[in-house]
Amino acid sequence: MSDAAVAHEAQEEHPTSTGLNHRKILMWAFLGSECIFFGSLITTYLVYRGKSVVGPYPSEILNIPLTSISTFVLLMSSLAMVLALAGFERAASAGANEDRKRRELQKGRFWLLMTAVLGTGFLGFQAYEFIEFVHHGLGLTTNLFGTTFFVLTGFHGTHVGVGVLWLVSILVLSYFGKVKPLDVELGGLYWHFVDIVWIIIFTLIYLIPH
Amino acid sequence: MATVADVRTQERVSTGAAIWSWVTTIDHKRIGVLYFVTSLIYFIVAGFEALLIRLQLATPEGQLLDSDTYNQLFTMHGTAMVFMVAMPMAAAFFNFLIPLMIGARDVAFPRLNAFSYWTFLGGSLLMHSSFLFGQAPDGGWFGYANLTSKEYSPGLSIDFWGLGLLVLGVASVAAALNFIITIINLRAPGMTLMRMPVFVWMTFVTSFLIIFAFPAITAALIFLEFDRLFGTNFYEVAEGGDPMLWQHLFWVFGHPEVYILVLPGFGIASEILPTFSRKPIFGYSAMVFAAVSIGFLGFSVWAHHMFTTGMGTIADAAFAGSTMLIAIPTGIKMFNWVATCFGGRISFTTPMLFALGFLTTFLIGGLTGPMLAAVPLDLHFQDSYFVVGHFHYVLFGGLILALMGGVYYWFPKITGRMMDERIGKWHFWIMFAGMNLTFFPMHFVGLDGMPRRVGTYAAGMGWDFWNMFITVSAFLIGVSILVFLWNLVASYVKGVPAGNDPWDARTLEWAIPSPPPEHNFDEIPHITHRDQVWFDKYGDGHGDAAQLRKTSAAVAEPAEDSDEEHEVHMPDPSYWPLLVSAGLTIAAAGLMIHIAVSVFGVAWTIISVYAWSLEPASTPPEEH
Amino acid sequence: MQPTKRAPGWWHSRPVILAVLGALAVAVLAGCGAVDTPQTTLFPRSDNNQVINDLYAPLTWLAIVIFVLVQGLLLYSVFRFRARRGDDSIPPQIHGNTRLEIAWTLAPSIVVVIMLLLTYQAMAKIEADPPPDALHVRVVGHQWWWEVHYPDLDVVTANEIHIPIDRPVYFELESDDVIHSFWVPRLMGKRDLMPGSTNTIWFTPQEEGLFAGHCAEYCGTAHAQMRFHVVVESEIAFDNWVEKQRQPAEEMTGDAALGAELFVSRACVTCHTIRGTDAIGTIGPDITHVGSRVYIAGGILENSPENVTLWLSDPQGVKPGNEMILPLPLSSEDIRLLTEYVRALK
Repeated sequence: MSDAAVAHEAQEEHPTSTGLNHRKILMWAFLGSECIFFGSLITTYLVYRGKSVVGPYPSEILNIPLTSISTFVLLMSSLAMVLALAGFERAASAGANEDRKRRELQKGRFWLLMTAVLGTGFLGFQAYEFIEFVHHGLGLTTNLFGTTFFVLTGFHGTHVGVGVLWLVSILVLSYFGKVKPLDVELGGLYWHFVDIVWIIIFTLIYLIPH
Repeated sequence: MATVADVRTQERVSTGAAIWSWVTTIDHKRIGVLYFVTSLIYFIVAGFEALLIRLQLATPEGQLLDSDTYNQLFTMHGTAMVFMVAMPMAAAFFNFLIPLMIGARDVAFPRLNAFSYWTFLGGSLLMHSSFLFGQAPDGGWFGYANLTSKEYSPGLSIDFWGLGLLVLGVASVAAALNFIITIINLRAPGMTLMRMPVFVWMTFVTSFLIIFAFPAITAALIFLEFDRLFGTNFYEVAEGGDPMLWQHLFWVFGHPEVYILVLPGFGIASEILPTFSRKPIFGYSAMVFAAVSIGFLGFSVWAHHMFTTGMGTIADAAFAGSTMLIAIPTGIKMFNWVATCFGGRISFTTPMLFALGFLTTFLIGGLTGPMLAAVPLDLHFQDSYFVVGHFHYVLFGGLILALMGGVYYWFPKITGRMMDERIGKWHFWIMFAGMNLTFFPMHFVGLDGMPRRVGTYAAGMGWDFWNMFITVSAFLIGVSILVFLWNLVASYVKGVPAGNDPWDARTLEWAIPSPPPEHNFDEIPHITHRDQVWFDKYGDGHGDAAQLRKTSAAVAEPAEDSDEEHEVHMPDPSYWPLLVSAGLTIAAAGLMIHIAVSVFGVAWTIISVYAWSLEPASTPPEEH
Repeated sequence: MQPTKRAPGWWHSRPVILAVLGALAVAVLAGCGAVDTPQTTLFPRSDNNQVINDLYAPLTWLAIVIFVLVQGLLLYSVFRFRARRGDDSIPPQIHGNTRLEIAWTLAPSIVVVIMLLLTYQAMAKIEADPPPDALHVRVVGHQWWWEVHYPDLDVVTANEIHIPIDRPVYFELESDDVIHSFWVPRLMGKRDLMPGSTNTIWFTPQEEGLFAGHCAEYCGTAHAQMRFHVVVESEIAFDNWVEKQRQPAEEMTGDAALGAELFVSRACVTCHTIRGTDAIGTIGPDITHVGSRVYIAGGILENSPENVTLWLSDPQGVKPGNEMILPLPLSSEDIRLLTEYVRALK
């Protein structure tokens, strides 16, 4: 590594008042803000529960077994995310051991890919669910249930989609040697957040009986 | 004269290059100036709308404006004053001052900062472009559902409003995140949280309020636009939707928004009063904790805007209680400001006059606040001119006067020139008289039963005299703005050179040249005290200033270091933030034109985001 | 202080301060009834508004006293401690005083508790349940007029609400379109009309008279002209009024009869109901007895032949945006006959 690159690196890791990286605090603060956003969407869904004047109603249409599988898929993606980060971190701390470094990096990349694949799988389940609902006569504008359900889960799905795009970008960049563990960690923070939001949505929409 | 705050442009630069340097700038000081100039333009536009409104109301059965135009004017006046004047003008001060006050070279994310400005510009232009199509928003700044539904507001007016606000929300949240990280992470060594200037604290609290309040209105606006564009049922009464949903979400945002607007005013006053009293702020910790508790309480009072909707006695009583609680921290601040002056050496400079004017008018607005929180009284005051009088006292008196004081106070730092004191005092007195004569009588017509948002009223209601009086007084405010603009331009061109510390002030920004160099501090200062600059000048003691200055100067003189060792690498300019903002604005506007335009805008945004993330923040330094 | 050649800035301000004080004095006088204000919230004429007015006084005085104290303290501080010319000294750098700060945390707390207690006391009175014998009135808001039903009396009218003195009246408030707000300042604080749900409010009027009301929630183009009136009258007068309102429209004679024919043959019938005739439209107000009302056009024009003519010839000019859009302009003769008819609908 050239001196310039080292200097560049050092500048980026400039000491901060708290010792924490800027981008990490940014991500936490941003997720705090996102909490209120999803809180508003979820509250709206709950306020409008049982207020639809026409069907189909949730009890007639929600497929709990199927969504349990997709929830499991998303949960597993969080596990994969943890393993991916571990790989990148071990690779970074491998020091001069080039062989171990390459091995850990390969692991990290594999699990990163798995995370994105599982996330895409979740989106596939969601697309299937949406299409099924439309076949059963529940559209975005059919009733309050359709409106609040599609907007809430749709915005969550969009977040998953952005996450997949992000993880894939990290994966690609890692082949150019431009990815540091922090980059993976930030993507991971976001990914886990989106995952937790889904657990809340799954519990409130699917599991609590109407 | 070179551009403001620009010390690098010693060599001759072409106009094109100068403009390009502003377009791609990521210097917090320049972005602050951009924010200020833009919000000043909107201030003039929205003020002009207010004068048209007043002309229409000067006499009963006014004929100047038809009712649709009137409704558009009060909607845009309110929306612009809140989102395009008050917030960005406060952001101008945040931008310019926060890094200087905490001893940093820039904000934590300089390019994100540029993105915030350009997104603010995009959103505000998007909303104002509605005038070109004769479709200006007319649903009120509060945009209550279900009047804003497609059924009752056909056309695009509400879409301009909703989509514009969504874009503005992105700008506000991005800026707030940036300031939070900057204040957490970029404080100079020794600058503990409790050594930060009060203004920095107010920015900190304000920024938290922004990131937690804006998502609520974002959700509400998304519901609104989904209803209007895709036919969903959020506010559709026939489908079981409830217009109260909008009111709750809007005010969950809307009341913290009041503190988002007024806390920067608190911060500015808390800097001006100590400087011109030559005393530190009284009860620093109490000031900080009062602001933090106002921030927290601010989220628990929203439904006091909804007492007339029939929420029930329990809810009414609870929200009346939580609202009145805010009077306690506010009272603490008020007394601490007064105590700051007490025992000082008060000099009546223009910034000080504005700060004192702020205390007076905010006191009045603060005292009518608990009256409005008393539910039975609010049943009369709600949507009457009384409440118009109240919040203009809080926002004009609490924020605009403070901002004006801030302009006079920091103009020397920003431009290196003093503003004219004589014209400044004229400005203050005309504005102070104008605003009191305009907004105080509004309480009377409100008590006499005049509802707000009416473009015409019958003769014989007993409102004629006061309305004419208010209109005439409103023009007095207009005159004061002209005086201000004149002073601004004249002082910029030929003001007296200011020097580093014209006010003998207390905080870090006064230790560096005016205007500050691009990298702010040659050497990051080391902080040992609150009001570090004052301490460096006079120590902790009191007595004869000249004497103290002499003795402490020898101690405080920093050791001269060779320049080479402390060469500062500033991040490079970038146009990607501007392009991301443009993409977002196009995506939003596309929803009103054709979905393909939106897709194009989203694609543009994504590509620009990638380019932005891959662009190195600064060119690696040359090897030695 | 001796006036000097170059007086300090704040000295210039004395005329300004005097002007402000003068204006306040005038304002207070005006507020005390020197001007005739039919829609004032002061001078209550019902129990509901009496309660509110009883709360005005202590809270306003409290606010004034606090203002005088704090502002006095501020003015004293800045003038007493103003910097003398050439005085470059530095005052004691006092950072705070715990005892003082506790004191002025407690002071506003006490004030807040007092204000809250007063508020809750008043709330208990005005938010109590209505007495069972209350007169029942149902009001439905429309853009931009008021539909009025007396469910127990079988009366339907619009924009003018008759109620008897000294009897509690209980309002059910609904909306047909957007949010409106029902407000008769001298009789009651406002209450919103929410689409999709029913709000209620009640009060007991204590003086006969004609009271002005206004929609107090922005509801679109003609919000400023969405007015109405409440007529408080004696029990006997009210009973007579009810009796008359329950009748269908009288048989017309002369020009009024011609007007009646015109009414059912033209677009009028599509929107208006006149009981006893073929007109059964429900888009606009029921105008069976419109001739007996004090105001027309949703409370904005006094009921005179000239105003009826004005309204019929140019409803969009009088109240822009309202739904009375005449497909064909009426001839002046038509308008004359219709005016006769409308005026005769007593």
